[in-house]
Amino acid sequence: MGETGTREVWGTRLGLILAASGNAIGIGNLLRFPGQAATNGGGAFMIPYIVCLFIFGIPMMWVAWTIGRHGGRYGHGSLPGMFDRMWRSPLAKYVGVLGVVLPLVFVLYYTYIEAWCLGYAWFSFTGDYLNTPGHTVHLTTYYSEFLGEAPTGTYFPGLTAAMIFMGITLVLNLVVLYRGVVKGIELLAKVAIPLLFLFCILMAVRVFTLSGEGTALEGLNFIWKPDFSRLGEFGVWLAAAGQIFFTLSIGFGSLECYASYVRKDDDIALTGLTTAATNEFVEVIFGAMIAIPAAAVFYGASQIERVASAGTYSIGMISMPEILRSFPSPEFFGSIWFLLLFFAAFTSSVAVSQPVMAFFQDELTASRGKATVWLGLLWALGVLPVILFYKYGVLDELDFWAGTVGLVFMALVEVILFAWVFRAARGWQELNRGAMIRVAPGPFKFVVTFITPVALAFILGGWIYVDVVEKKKLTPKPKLAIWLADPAQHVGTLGNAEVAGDDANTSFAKDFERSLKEQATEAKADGLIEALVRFGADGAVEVTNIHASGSLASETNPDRLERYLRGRGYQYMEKASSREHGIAMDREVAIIVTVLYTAPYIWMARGMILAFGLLFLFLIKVAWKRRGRGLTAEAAA
Amino acid sequence: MSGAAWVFMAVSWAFVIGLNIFCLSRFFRKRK
Repeated sequence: MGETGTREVWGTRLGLILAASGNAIGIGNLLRFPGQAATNGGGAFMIPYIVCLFIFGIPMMWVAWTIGRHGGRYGHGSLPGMFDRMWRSPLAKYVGVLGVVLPLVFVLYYTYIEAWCLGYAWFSFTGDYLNTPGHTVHLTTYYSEFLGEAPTGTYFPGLTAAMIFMGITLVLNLVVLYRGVVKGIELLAKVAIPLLFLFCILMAVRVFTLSGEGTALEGLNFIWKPDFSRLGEFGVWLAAAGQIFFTLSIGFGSLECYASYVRKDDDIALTGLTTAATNEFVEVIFGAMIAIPAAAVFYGASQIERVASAGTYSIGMISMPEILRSFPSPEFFGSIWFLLLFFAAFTSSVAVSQPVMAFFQDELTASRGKATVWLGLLWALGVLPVILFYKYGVLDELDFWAGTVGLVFMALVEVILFAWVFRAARGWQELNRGAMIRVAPGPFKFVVTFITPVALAFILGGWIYVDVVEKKKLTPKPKLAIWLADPAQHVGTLGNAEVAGDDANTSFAKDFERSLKEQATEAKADGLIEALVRFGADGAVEVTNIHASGSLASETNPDRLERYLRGRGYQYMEKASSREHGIAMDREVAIIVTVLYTAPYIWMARGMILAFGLLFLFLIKVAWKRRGRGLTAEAAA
Repeated sequence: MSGAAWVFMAVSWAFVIGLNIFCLSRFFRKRK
């Protein structure tokens, strides 16, 4: 079998580079990078970061582009076919199943996050989360209600809004995929990437012209101030390796898929390097210029650490709206910020879905329309549990298996196949055919044969150790949370005061939480405690009414709840302005304690991945059987 | 912003801008 000549090819080189950059540039560039840098040694973080870029970031980029163009030459746009061409073993195509299942599982939840960004762009445009007299919008609750995590329905009565924005996002993605590589993906990249740059510049100018509690430079100082003492920590190197891995979109099979639409003698060496360079530009320059400096301006230098360590989504979806709504034109700048995140995610999600499209088109000879319908059905079916059971941790579970462990494992398999089975020397020749830059053969072969596999094994081992051994992530745990029952009625929120060394109450609080979780586990059901609580400015807590249901039905003793709230230092707090720390107030409020029994949903998420795996293993078997028959018929003719 | 922070930011910026200039210059160079 030679070149098929029927597959699409990229329209222009610029279009290809923009599309590949769009694949790499995602939400992580703007939200994950600054947080990671700031909390892992500041400027010193760039040392392991750049080392990782050279020892496996750029090499893996080249490996992916080479495997992709090589596979594309034989009509394969996804890893089952690509691996089959590299490794003459009947197993090869089945190993490649990872390159279809992982991106499919990844887009299921990634497009949901993309839908949040679209939703928030709309809420910004309409001013939905702005505070008005008599109506306070607590952004944490707003976010939790939008995703169906909070037991209240003050801002969003149900999951309708989340479903609508997910539906729109799904349709947008499918339209682009249906239009094909040139008229869909390439056109989207040509519009979205310049817009993304424009929005980044607008946001950076906005942030650097604001004045508030602190200055934007204090934010930059927080990100870039080097702390060399951290360089000896295993965790800092692991964080840098992880950031490089995620930011370049290695291990999704999408780079390989994009490369399969390159003509056989067109350059891939410079294209791969340019993709990495553009991605680094957005990450290192723009990523550090928006969210953290904005937090420094608004909250002041002393509080940036709290904002940065709250996590990627908290910075983007809670802190940024809080900041933007406190300055003029929140509707405009809020929309720009969330559209920026949306476009960054959109260009990545179409890229990551394309291997699945390519699998249907190339291996099952489906038309583009049919492939879009099949993908759309799998996507719509698969995203439903992500939306409906978000509060039980389904998204995080899929992210752990597909977006964390799975990706590194696949990249490791890929580089081993490339360097040890396909052979690095042959790989280098393939990479350099038609290349616009010359990649030095000696260092390339040495790095991909020895250094990159070891680096990837190090990340995989490190993550498995941290998540499985230290955090014991394999055992599903019940989730406990505490909420205000009527958030819009109160200016303040529930906050935790410093607990002044009352060891008896603190240890009681821990035991109480453990006991609630055990009750949920034994009853295999969720539980709820609703209570009226009088909080005092002096730290006093009095439960005046209590009602419990579900697995916590027996938990009706007000004294226990009182002691728990005291042990955890819960108080009702109001802020003079949203910048400042809350001040404890005398107030009677209704609270809800929820304990969610997550195990069935976690196992359902794992089952989903397994089901997708088995489905695609079966489809691979069918595709190759059909191909075998086709070849026999051809030979007979 | 401290001097060390300025230095690390400047070096990091120089690295990514340099990498981009290198790629763009090769990208627009006429092929032999």
